[in-house]
Amino acid sequence: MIEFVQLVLGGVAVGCVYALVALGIVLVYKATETVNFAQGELMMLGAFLAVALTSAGLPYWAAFAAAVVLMALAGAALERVVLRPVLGRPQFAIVMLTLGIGLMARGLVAAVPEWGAQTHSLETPFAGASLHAGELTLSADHAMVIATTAVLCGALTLFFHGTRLGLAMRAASQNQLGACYMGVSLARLHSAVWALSAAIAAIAGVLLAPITFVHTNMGLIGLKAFPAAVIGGFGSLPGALAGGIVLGVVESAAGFYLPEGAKDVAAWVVVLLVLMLRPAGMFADAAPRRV
Amino acid sequence: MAEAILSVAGLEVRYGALAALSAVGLELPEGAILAVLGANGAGKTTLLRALAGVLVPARGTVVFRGRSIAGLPPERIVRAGISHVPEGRELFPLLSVRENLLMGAWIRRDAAGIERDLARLCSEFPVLGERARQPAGRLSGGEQQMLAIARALMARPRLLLMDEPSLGLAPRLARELFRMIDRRRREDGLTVLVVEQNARLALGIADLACVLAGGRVVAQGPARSLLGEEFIRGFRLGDNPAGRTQAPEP
Ligand SMILES: Nc1ncnc2c1ncn2[C@@H]1O[C@H](COP(=O)(O)OP(=O)(O)OP(=O)(O)O)[C@@H](O)[C@H]1O
Ligand SMILES: [Mg+2]
Repeated sequence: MIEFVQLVLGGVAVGCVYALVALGIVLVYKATETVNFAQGELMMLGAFLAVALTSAGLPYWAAFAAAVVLMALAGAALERVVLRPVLGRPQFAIVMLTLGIGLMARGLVAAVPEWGAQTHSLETPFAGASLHAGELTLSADHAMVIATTAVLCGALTLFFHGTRLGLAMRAASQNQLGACYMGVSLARLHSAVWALSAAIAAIAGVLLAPITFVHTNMGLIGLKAFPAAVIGGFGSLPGALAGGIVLGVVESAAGFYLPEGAKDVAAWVVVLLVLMLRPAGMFADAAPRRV
Repeated sequence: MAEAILSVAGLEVRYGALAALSAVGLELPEGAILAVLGANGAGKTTLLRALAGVLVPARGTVVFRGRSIAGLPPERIVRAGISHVPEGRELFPLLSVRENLLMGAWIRRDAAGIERDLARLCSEFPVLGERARQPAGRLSGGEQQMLAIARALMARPRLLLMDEPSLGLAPRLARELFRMIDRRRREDGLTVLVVEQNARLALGIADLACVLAGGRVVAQGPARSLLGEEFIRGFRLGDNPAGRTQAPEP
């Protein structure tokens, strides 16, 4: 039993990272109707930034904050320079473009002499520490992921339900033309959404860094975030969150109880099951508020 | 009457090869109510969309309060003082009634004034006050129509564009709505351009009227002079297919 709870806890922690990446994908999708296949790479960039900043001598927390802010700026710039000009083009072209952005980000990082070839570790002030409750152990890295995700979700809820900009993002995700008629500048709103989404990616990257190390292929986690978003109904933020956590738990249980390889298949089995049983996602019948 | 707050000249709007509006000219004095009448497909909605900045005119000038606004994007036009109650309402169905109204005030920063206007609109449309916390999508068609109008008023426009506001309203509610619009005009100096299928209702409060047919202005003048005219009756009875008149409230 303890073993199982232990597995679930570890799964929740990893699932939180999937959830954060999925959250960024869903945010951009809802606001701009673009499926961003580069979200995993944005996370990877955030992690590399944090590593670079800590090795430049910045303390962990300062590097964390700076990486998030820098990635938010990068997200806004990406929208302004790359995505805004192609607004209104066929969907598949824009999707290809985001795939290209992801590949370019990987190439770019690989080309940096100190970065590309090896894996890096991010120094944290809580390295090696862990929390204990009875026989349960939770590493500080995992605890940090879970706690930060919880705080971030609270902050996002306050943002979407308590601020002007958050309200406008929800409004535009339901009716872009309606938001236009209210005087909302969709271009600027899209920039803000990309900034928010890239900032969340950076948070995910910094949280994941002490667990898996930092390397150019980190962004492949996007392959887990997409199923997480689909499980949650692709369009619901709470759904993306729940989808990520479910996926993390299922994976960690499959990795333990099932034969080698099952772990990597588990995500897709869950997606198939959800699509067959509840085609609109787990959160299909959830409350009318979707953001 | 006061000088023109809106003047449109030579306006042409195209959907690809189709010219939905050609050579449209209008003069709207400040504080006046102009009714735009016309059969289905005459170009009424197209005219409002062009004025609201959603469609870019191919030709012509639009001058609002002394400034040329032709071709400006919708967000600039709202800020210039023109609000639009569009065809199809374009509400935010999952946001609450109150949140929809707050979105209407997006261009404003005066929190106290916004709260005052919310209170005023909720007393003018009591049902919106009662349902403030419900999602807009759960309101009846008529209530949604009222919300769309109230939301447009939250921007404190100088000019209000309304596309068939009585559609979906029971006759009694439609008359009430028009009385409210008339009061806004008298008390706040609001100028109104209203598209209506229900010509008699619109001409009842309008000062001016213009009739569109095939994308051109075919008649224009004081509302009272058009009210009695034969072609208005002909237009109402002849060109107005069943089903597009007022649908009773669900
Ligand atoms: N998006 C569009 N693309 C192409 N043609 C359009 C489009 N919207 C309208 N039209 C055409 O433009 C003309 C004017 O349409 P518009 O919607 O302005 O008419 P209307 O007077 O508002 O009619 P109704 O009373 O049915 O609302 C019609 O012939 C219509 O078919
Ligand atoms: Mg119309």
